[in-house]
Amino acid sequence: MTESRYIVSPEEYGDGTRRVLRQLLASGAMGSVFAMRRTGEEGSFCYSLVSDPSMVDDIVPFYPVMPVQAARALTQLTITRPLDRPVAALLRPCEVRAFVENVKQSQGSMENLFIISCTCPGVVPTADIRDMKDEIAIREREFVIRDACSACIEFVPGPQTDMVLLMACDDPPEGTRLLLQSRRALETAAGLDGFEMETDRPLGELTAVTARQRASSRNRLLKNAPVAGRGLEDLVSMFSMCIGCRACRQACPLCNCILCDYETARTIHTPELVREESNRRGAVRVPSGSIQFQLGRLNHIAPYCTGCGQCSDVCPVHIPVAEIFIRAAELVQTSLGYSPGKDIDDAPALSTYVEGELQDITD
Amino acid sequence: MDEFEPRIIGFLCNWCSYAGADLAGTSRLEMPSNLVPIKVMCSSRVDPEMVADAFLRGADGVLIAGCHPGDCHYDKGNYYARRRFAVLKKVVESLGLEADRLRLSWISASEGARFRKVVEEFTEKVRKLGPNPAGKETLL
Ligand code: SF4
Ligand code: SF4
Ligand code: FES
Repeated sequence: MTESRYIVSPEEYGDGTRRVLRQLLASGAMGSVFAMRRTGEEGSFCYSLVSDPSMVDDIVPFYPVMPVQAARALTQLTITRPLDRPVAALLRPCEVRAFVENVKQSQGSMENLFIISCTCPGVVPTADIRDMKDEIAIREREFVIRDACSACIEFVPGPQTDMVLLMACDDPPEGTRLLLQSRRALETAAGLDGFEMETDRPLGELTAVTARQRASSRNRLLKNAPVAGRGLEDLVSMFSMCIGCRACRQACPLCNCILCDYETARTIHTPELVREESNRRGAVRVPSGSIQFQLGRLNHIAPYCTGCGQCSDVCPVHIPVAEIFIRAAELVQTSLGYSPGKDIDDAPALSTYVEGELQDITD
Repeated sequence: MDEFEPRIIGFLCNWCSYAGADLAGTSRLEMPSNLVPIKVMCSSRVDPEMVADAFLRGADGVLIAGCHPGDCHYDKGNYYARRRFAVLKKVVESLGLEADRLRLSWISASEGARFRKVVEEFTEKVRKLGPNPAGKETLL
């Protein structure tokens, strides 16, 4: 298909999207909306399940913040059982991919979810939220996004998305422009008032130049990533400030184990062991285990990391965790030919294999 | 100065490689004594966490050994082990750590001689690499 179908309206995209959501709730097409909501205080936002159409006013569609990675929230919401009524969820592309990945690992369900995403311009570091200017400045993109976001080449949502709001693209539109990507989206859009239906080029063509810019910042990040292949000493000094709070794993949408090994007594070192290590080395940090934790998390998550940047964002001592993960993930995912969250029918990278593969690393 | 004697941790699957090591022993094959064997039920039991732990505790080399592809006693365990090993190698590489200190070998229960060869080769390779610097690190 060379042409895609969009619904358009002249209003600013926030208003346009809110109008879609209000109609979906009022008509009963959706039971609730899952989206980012402003909660009163300046700079205070949270994901919410909104059911009252009048409260859609507080929803800030694709406001450039990510206090919680939505895949984490949706996984919690759907891990015990699928949603029982249709929910329209506003998710960024990395949130969609991370959630798809969790669903593939039986940690959530896509049932009854209607996904509205955007071609993503990125989000600001959470620490900067309070300095953010008004909505107009945000619309004009007067903010500095996370390093992980500038290096994200997967900013165009994949096929699991029903509707896509055109945001980051080569020629940003005035007003609201929503791509109808699924049959469900076409049916749903037919019931909406006050939008024109238009055909236009597909997303890939509308975002080609932007994609090239992102690719080159990604290459820069991969080349200059902290501890970019510089060895043990750099690794140790990078994490020497780590306070072991585990916020990075708590924030990561893919760290989906209910009980992390590194939170159990199994990974607490006994006094005998610590003393022995100290004798051998002259001294040893207590509590030990920060590098062990990072190596463990890297091994478990690198095949699935969607590069959202959340782990760097939450680190209280400013360790560029995500940059380290993004670099490792690039190598790992390329070598396994795996793209997390791309295809919901693909088995997770570590739950499958190809018989004759990877022979060069074994003997 | 005394020659450096590497310490190598070997995770050996119960059904093939551990039996292969046993055979090497009962056949009285001489080989370096640098490898400390740890029996695991299957090569797929080895979480990369365990390898990372051995490495950070100063093991100069880590060997994982299992049944040949197609022969795993739990059917497919070694194929999964191989994927995890690929991840481990790439993670280690991305950090600039020495991936050469890690090895995954297939050794069957009847391959006592092959077990000896793997141990000899790997010990020599690790000897050349020298002591694992992680063994002296104080900020782990
Ligand atoms: S490791 Fe970091 S960048 Fe990767 S998915 Fe988890 S939080 Fe996001
Ligand atoms: S968030 Fe930062 S300080 Fe906390 S455990 Fe992770 S790396 Fe360490
Ligand atoms: S039982 Fe030997 S590798 Fe699985």
